[in-house]
Amino acid sequence: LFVLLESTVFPVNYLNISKDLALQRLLVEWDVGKSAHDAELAMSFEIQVRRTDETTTVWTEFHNVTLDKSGKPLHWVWDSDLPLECMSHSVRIRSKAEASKIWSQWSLWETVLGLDTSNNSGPQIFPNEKIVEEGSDITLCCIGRKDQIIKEFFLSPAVHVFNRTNSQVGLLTVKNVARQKVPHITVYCKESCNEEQCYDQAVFFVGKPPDTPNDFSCQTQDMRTVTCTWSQGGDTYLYGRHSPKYTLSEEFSQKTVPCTVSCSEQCSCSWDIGQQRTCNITVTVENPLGKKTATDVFDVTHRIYPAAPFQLWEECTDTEITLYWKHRNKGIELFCQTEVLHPDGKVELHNSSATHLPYASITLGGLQPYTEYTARVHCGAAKHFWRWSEWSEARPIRTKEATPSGKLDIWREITPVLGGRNVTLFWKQAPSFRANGRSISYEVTWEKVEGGSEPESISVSSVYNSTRISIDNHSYIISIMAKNNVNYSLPSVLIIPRATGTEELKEEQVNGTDDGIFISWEPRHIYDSYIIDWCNFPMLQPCDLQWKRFGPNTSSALINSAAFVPGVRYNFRIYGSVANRASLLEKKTGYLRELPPLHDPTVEVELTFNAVTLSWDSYLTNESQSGFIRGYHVYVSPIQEDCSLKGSKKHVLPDDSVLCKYTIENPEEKRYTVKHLLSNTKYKLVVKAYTGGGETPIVNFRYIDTPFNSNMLYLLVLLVIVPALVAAVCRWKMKWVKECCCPIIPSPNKSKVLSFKEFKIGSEKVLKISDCIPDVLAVDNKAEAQKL
Amino acid sequence: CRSNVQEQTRRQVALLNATAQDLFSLYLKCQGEPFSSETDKLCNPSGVFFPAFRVNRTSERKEVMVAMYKLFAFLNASLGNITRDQEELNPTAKELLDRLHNTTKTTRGLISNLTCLLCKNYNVFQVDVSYGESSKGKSAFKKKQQGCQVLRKYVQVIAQAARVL
Repeated sequence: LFVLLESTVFPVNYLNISKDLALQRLLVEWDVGKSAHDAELAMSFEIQVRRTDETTTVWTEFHNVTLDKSGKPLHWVWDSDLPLECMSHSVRIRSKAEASKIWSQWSLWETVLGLDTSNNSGPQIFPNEKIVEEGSDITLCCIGRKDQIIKEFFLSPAVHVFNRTNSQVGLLTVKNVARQKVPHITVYCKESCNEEQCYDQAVFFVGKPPDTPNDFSCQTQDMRTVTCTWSQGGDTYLYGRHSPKYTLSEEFSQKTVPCTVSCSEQCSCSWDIGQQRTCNITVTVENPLGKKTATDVFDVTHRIYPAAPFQLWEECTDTEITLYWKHRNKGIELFCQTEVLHPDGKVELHNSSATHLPYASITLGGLQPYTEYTARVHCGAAKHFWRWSEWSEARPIRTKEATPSGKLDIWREITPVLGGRNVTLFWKQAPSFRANGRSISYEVTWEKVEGGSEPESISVSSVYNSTRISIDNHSYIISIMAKNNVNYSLPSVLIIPRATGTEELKEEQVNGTDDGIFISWEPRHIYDSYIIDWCNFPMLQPCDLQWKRFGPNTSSALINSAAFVPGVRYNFRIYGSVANRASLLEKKTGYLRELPPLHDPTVEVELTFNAVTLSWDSYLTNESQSGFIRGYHVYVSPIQEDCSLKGSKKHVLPDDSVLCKYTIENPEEKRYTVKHLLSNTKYKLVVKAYTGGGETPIVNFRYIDTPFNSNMLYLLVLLVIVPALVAAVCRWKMKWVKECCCPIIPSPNKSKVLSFKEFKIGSEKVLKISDCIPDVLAVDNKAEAQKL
Repeated sequence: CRSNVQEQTRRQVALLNATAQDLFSLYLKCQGEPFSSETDKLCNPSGVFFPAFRVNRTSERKEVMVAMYKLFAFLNASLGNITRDQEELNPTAKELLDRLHNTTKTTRGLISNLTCLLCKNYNVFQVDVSYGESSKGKSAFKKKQQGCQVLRKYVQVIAQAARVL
């Protein structure tokens, strides 16, 4: 038999082809002789497909099959990349038993014809309207009428195509079809004529197959209605009747789930499962380009998603809240969690025990009195927890009032008046203080320490944080308590000692930093605390007194306040306190940051010809200034030129002019003399005060004229003018002078020689020659001589 | 009829006239190529039925009203087809769909006013209207083309109607 088989052939004796135009599919049916079926032979078939216009085979495939005795014909399908209308397709088959080496003869070609165009009214495009997957390849044809040639065949918008249009059938292949801005591609075909019937157009939709439904999950609230949800996935770009369609089916019952899918952000579908407890649900999404599924298999009791608790109500004490709520899910054991939001933002979660009951409660303790909390609840299945329900509505709840806790921080300012003192009391809530109630008032009580008088008290509304009382010079004990609708707080006490003379303490300057004003003091071991007080607005009344307390081991602090501004002097008093009695220890004063003085000194000027004395006695150096006045700078310069005075330093202005600068480092020194000035000269000068923050720029000068120097004048007169005058007179009266002073022949009357008595005759002096022995004798005949 | 129905009718026609060209241009843009570049070839109004509008300012008022009624009844049906087709072919073209809806609304208002005028002033209770071919069942391309042809003709006729009133 084996030898027989080796050479036996079983030719194809039946071959039939049909076509599925919608799927562009050839359906091939064939058979071999009965003997092959009876022998249940394993056979191979070679199948070839050919198209009319092509001489080559477009497809060859080997198909192996084992025949059975039923004798049913064999089937095979082939999907054409080209619409079957475009041209005729032919198929032939040959066979071979697997045990044999010999192929049978080929069957005859069996043909299915393309479109018969004899009665066509115009060219036709195939496929006419197709949905094409983005990125895929597509082949189109345009069949012209009989005896017509396809002249134009293209896509719009234009894409790169492979085109063959020189016959009655035009072919067009588009590779990697891309989606355009408009979700259609139009194909255009034209025969070689121009009338309207020579054209055909077709539209293609380019889209994508649907994505697999994401996050497909089913759950129930009441074990009767199941809801399945899933995410839609990406856009398929196919709309209307081509848009994705969803169906759900239940595999165990083999039925389609009777639910209506609705999609917004997510898709969902709900239906009644009756008594079924185990489900195998498949969601199928399908569009013309593909189909995807997702499945969820579950036990309904393991997928309970309870409804949110509702109708919350509460009962409160001052420190506890008991919260009640209702469940919609009856008969399902639930376990709940309560979230409590505290006013400070802290969130606490509290678990409560499981219950089948339609209501439940939880008691929340350790809360603060008269404080608002916000509570909400969610629940989950106690057995086989699946997920929490939605939160219930948030319910704000306020605990009841209680006695105020903690103590007030109190302080005082004492102002002596005639016959006693006015005491302004201040209070604030210490960090440990809690009002624990709605309406707070403050009870202020004072009485003499020694006793002997009834205590006095007043009640102050919570609107106020200070009050003023008047006391005499005895020592008093003052207590302040906060009161609410329930009770009083513990009293805060301070003692005002008996009035003594005021001791003047020296005020010490302190420095400001970026973070505040640094205060330090001498620690003293007898005190159990220190207090520093100051005014936030020292120039105003009331000045907004502030205070801070420090422990016994502290001896310094950085005081800062939002009210501190540069240029304002703040005064600090440091007290030591023991047994509620405070004693003033030290005084400090300082600026957060010194600024230059607001005003320059107003200067009085006293001039001499070579000096100017400047004075500014009225200039204040107190707290009205915006910094501690450290001293003064005097700037001088002649108007027309740079200054260079002996004893000064050079100071260059922004305009490069040079001033002489003198520094006075004592703020109480308010007088200065600038020397070595030139007389009769114009000078400009200015006096600037400076603080730790510097001084303001020089803007205005004072102008002076040094007077003319009179000493010089006198000197000038003496040394120059007088001699000149004398010389002039002498010249003018030279003769007289000469005669008077140094005559050529002196007048005997003036001679000492002739002063003897015996030589006078009357008034004339006579010289007896005998009385004198001349050395030389000469007779002068000149007129002068004659005169003599 | 309301007291100002004549004036309202005139304003409604003027509104349609003012918006017709923009509607047509937007329609072309939303159909993609080759509608914008081959408008003359593809959107030739002669290829589609459109009711005749052969009246002018000198025509009898009743004739004008009847012609208007036929025009807007046809337009209402055509816009219905076009809107249905575009909701399927171009569901994301929100502006086009809004304009089609607005034009349809105004057209329906016009039909209502014309019905009242014809009845009250001319005792006309029935007008024979031809609606042309439905685009249902046609290929996507034919749907686009038919809409384009109707709207192109609409632009021309509505201008005539506005001039007559």
